[in-house]
Amino acid sequence: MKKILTALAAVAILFTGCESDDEIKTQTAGIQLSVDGSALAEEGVTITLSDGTTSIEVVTDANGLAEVTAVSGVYTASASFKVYNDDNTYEIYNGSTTVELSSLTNSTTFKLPLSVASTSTLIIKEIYAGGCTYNTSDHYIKDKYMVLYNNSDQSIDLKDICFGFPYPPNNWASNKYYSNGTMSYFSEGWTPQGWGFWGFRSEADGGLASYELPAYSQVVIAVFGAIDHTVTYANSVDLSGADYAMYDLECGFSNTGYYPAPDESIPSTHYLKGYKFGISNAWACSYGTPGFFIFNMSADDAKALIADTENMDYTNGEKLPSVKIPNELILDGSEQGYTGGLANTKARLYSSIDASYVKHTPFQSHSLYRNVDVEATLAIEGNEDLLVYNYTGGTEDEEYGSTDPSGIDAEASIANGAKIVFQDTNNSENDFHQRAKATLCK
Amino acid sequence: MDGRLWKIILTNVLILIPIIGWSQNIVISGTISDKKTAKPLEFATVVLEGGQWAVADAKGRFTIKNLQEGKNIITASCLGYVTRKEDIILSKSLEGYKIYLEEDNLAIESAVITAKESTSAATTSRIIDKTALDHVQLMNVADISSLLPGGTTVNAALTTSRIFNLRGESSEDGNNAFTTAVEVDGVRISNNSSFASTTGATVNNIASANVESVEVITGVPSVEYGDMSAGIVKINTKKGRTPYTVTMSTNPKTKQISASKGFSLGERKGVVNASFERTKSVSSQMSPYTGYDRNQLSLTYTNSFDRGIFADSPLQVSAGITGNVGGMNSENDPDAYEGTWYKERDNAIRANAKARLLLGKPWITNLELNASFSLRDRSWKEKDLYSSAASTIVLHGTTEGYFVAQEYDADGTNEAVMISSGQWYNTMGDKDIPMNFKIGAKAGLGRNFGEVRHKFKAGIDFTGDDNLGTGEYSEDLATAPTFRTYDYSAQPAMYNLDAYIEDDVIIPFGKSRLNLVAGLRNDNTFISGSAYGTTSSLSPRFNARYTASRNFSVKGGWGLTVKQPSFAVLYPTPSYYDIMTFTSTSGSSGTYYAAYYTKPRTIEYNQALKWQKGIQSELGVDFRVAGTKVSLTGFYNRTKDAFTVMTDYERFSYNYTSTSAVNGIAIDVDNRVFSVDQSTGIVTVSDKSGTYDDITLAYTTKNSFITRKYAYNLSNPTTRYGLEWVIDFKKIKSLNTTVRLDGTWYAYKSFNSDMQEYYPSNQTSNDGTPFKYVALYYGGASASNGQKTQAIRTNLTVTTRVPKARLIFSLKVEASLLKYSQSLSEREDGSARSYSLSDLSTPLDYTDESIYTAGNYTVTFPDYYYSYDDGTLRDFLTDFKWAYENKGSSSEALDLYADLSKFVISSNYKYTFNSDYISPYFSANVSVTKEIGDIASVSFYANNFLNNLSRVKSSRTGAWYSVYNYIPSFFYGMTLRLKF
Repeated sequence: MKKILTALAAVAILFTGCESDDEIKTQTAGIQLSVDGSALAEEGVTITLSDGTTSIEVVTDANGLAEVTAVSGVYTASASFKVYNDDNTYEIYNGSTTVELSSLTNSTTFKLPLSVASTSTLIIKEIYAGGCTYNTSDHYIKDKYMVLYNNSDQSIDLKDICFGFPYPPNNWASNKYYSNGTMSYFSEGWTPQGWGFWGFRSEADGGLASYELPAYSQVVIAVFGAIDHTVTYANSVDLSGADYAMYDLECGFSNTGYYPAPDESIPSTHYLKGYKFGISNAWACSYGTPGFFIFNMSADDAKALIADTENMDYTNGEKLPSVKIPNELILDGSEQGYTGGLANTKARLYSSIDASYVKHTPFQSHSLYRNVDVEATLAIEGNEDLLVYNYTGGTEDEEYGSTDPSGIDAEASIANGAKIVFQDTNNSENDFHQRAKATLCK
Repeated sequence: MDGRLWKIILTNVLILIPIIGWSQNIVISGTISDKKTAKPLEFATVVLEGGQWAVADAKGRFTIKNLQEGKNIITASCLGYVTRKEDIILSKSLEGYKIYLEEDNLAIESAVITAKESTSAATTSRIIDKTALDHVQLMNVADISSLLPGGTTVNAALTTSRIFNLRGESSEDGNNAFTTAVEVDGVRISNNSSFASTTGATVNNIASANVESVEVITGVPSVEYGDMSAGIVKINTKKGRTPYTVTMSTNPKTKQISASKGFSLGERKGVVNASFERTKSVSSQMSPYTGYDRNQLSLTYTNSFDRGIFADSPLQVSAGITGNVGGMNSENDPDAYEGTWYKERDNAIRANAKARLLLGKPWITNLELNASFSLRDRSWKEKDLYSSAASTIVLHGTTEGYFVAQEYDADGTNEAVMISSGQWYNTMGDKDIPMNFKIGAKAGLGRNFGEVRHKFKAGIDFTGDDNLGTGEYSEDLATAPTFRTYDYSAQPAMYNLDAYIEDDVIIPFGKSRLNLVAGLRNDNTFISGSAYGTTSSLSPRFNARYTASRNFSVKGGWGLTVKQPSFAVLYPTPSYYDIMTFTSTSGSSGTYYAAYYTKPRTIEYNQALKWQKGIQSELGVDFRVAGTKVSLTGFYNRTKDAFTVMTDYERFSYNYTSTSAVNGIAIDVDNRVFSVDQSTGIVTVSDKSGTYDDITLAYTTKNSFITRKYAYNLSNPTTRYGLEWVIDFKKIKSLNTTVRLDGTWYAYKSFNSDMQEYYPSNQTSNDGTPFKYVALYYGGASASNGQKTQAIRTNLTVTTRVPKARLIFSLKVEASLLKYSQSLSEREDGSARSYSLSDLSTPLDYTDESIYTAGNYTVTFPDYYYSYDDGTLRDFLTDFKWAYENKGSSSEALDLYADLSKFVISSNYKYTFNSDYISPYFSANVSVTKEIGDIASVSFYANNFLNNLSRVKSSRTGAWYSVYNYIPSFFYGMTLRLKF
């Protein structure tokens, strides 16, 4: 009896001790890139699948189809890639979808829908609008500037470029366009611009016939006083060397507190032309969420646009008209989130212009600076040896701070002769970081 | 009855000229004593109906001579006692007439803590006596407005300037507060010589503790009162012998301590009342640094002479002087930027003197001479911190021309100063010292013609208003911001000579009587040395009251009143138009140079300026039924030719040099010296180093418009009418409680019918030149040109008296039953001034719907416009419609459309012209006063003691708002009064 029991126990142990020899069930499925319902044949695109804990990457074939084999589960498949054109411009594809792998979906093909946005060669490289502190607790904000950069190897003519920001200036405040989580103008294809906007001076108006911006170079646009502010406010910036100044007292932006006379070194042909139609006597952009964008409009078209009340939107009342800027004319723009009111941030730019926002803390001499597109930069011949790494200019130690993930110190590299290509995926959260000190700080 | 009436009137009309003497040798003499202690009351005053008076001596004895036979009323009053009136019939001389007065304290039955209606005066007159003032715990004399029918409580804090506004509300046309007169012991608190604004004088600097009684006269006041329309508030301070009185008062924002005493200087040497008060008020308990101070000392001397030469004609004199030192000061406030502060003075000196001679002749009873003087210092000083990264240009010049801003030169004229970048402090101030005086004589005659009693009054006054201040200044001109000096004292003073005559007739009809008052006043205003010259006006006023019995009387009145203008209207402060005509580029340290063109704005003196007139009428009835007393008064007032300051435009041109003209010239930026020709504006640059020759910069001529101001009278009259009711219910004897219901129904309508010009100076025309058109709007450049309001406010006051405990407890519920307002946009002829519009981007798509019911935006167009080149008026809508139709095809039409669009005025909201009814709301106050023996009394009050925090609905927006904006917030206060 004892022997039988022992034998039975041994068999039981044998059975339970043995590991189940079942294979882990994996499923196979296909993921097809698609745009507007039809397949996109793009080779070499990396699709990332993630279920929260694990992450798998697969690459598409010539037909834009990738095969994935993984354990059953629910995954999010996403892809973000650029397709370069011959003239160094590229389209950006962004998309994600849910992929459920199970025995039922084995061998099926999922569609990954992508949205397309074209980039331009002209981008905003740096925005400084937050101002600085002085006397320990006071703030000085009349020293804003932005930097335009030619992100391509072809020269660009700036004569039809105009500058704007969406209305209302502070995106954490109440907004009459906002309802049900979206802006009323998103579906209508325009962006509201209040007070007025700026453009390059036409030849008839005291400007030049053309304004050339060579490849991989920048121009500094002084939004307010084009003078050296650091003489009185030590933490501010020196705009006396700016290339262009938003200075047009005659059009009605005549507040000399914001528009003192520009430095002598700036030729009067480089004073931008103001197209004012509202009641304000200065271009009142925000210290927290400047939201600058650039758009294409000739001087004549701009003048005709602001003359007709039928081009205005009066959602904010009779005294605060906004002119409607058609979205297809907007070349680049950036939205910010003011860290003093992040919960109330209401993004004002249409998703194809900027899908997200970069967090910005004002009054600390910070500026928003673009991240370097490592791939595209390294692709340019000769750059590899000229690049400077170990970038320490970010604010990653601050709350809501950020830095350039590429680690490349763009300013130092440019000083070293490199040709930097900046990242532009139309997503400020990924494309910009908050820089501790604006480049023009002393 | 009719025949008798006519006979009486005729008799009196014929006998208005002094005639044969009637028998006038009745003498009445007696004593006045305290009812309880039988102590004689020295300094008590006895007055007969015809104006004859006497003052009791140390033994309480009085004698009045030269009286006529007939019915009369004898009135005895003494400070601290209840005034007593008795009917007497004088048929022969009376001796030993005894009058007993009751001490005025809470033990007496007739103590009233609300305003008392006067049932004998022919117009509406209300008296608020000491008991009521103590119970309401006056800190600011303006608080008595809450005791008038329908008056609402405002929490007292002296940091807010308060003014009196009788039968009117704030933010109305017609300057009603400006026409409400305030007098303290005969000294008029006048705001005529204020350059700041045309509004009522602030009463914050009048000591509240020393006030004995306040009389408020509205309706059709006697012709004795001039330079007012809405009414007059007469504040009387204590006069007579009083014990030491110390008062300490406190509420969350204000603390007050005061002491007063009336000393007798000896037998027949008179009485001196001395009073001192210190009040300190802060605007926020959380930050008690910015506050208002009031430190006041007043002395009054009164005496009467009836011995020696005055034996037959007693003389009563009184003279007083009050000085106040106080104002606002924020220097200690730790929340302000370091080193910055604001100080404002509210110092005052008031003096008055009066002499009254009782002549007792058949042709004159009383002769009074009076003089008063008031000087007020309202200067302020402010220290601020400035900073800038670039040069700041400031302007001080008052001559026309082009000036380059240079660094400050202590010896120069400094029309335009350039302050270098950096940080600096500067103290600015303003010396504003208005003053006014009055000298007058008044004669009274009381005569009876048979049964009819006449009281004639005639008088003549000379008043003056002037400002002794020197205007704005800076303690350091090198860093002062833009300002101009304007010497107030250099403007001519305004003098007024007036004469008036009045007859107050009482015609008895058995038990009833008819009181008729007719008066005529002539005002002549002289403003020498100015374009205004002399203005003369006549104001007739009539009042009648028929008293059928003690239980019923009817009254009515009609009259004209005239108000003198304020200096703000006569001499609008000069203003200057400064245009930057050139800026250079910035040099190495951020310095840059600029040239400005200064053009002083023309002030036209309107020689046709009329004085503002008020046409007042009143109708009232007082009756008693079943022990309940009811008083109803209806009023209808129109204000004509209200003062205002209008603007129109004149053309001018200037030469403009653009920055681009200087950019890039040969001379090095740091060596450039700029000069500009004062008359042509042409800029020349010279080289400090001498290397280069002078360079003249190119310029363009620009055309623009500049404003011109002038004093004006509004064409459309303002109308106010309403009904005031006071119902005193029969006393509930078992509870010793009285209930009073008082209230007012008030309606107001006004709209502007004058064509006004408008030029949008901060806009440019679509072709880049300065804006070229001026538009004319009916009633002004705004969506609405008028307003009408209606309100019903009523108060229920329940007063419970416990005479044995000498306690008064009152509960007052203030209710607003109707609060209606409606913005108007209308024309005198009734046609439309504004139209209904649904889409603001297409203003010409307006509809015919009524703007008051459509619930849409409203659009207003100017009637006419003219351009710089062609001054002829063009019809706006015709040209605007043409520009709209052709803007697609012609750039000229597009330019015109863009420019004329700037004149289109739309309402800000779709609900702008909805009628606004605020739902009813209530607030309740509770108040207790207790006397402790004869030495002390304590009062306590709580406003809005139920802490009503509910909401009211506005029918205009459909939204709910906190009632916080309409009723006083929860507030309380306490006062302790000591008498010894």
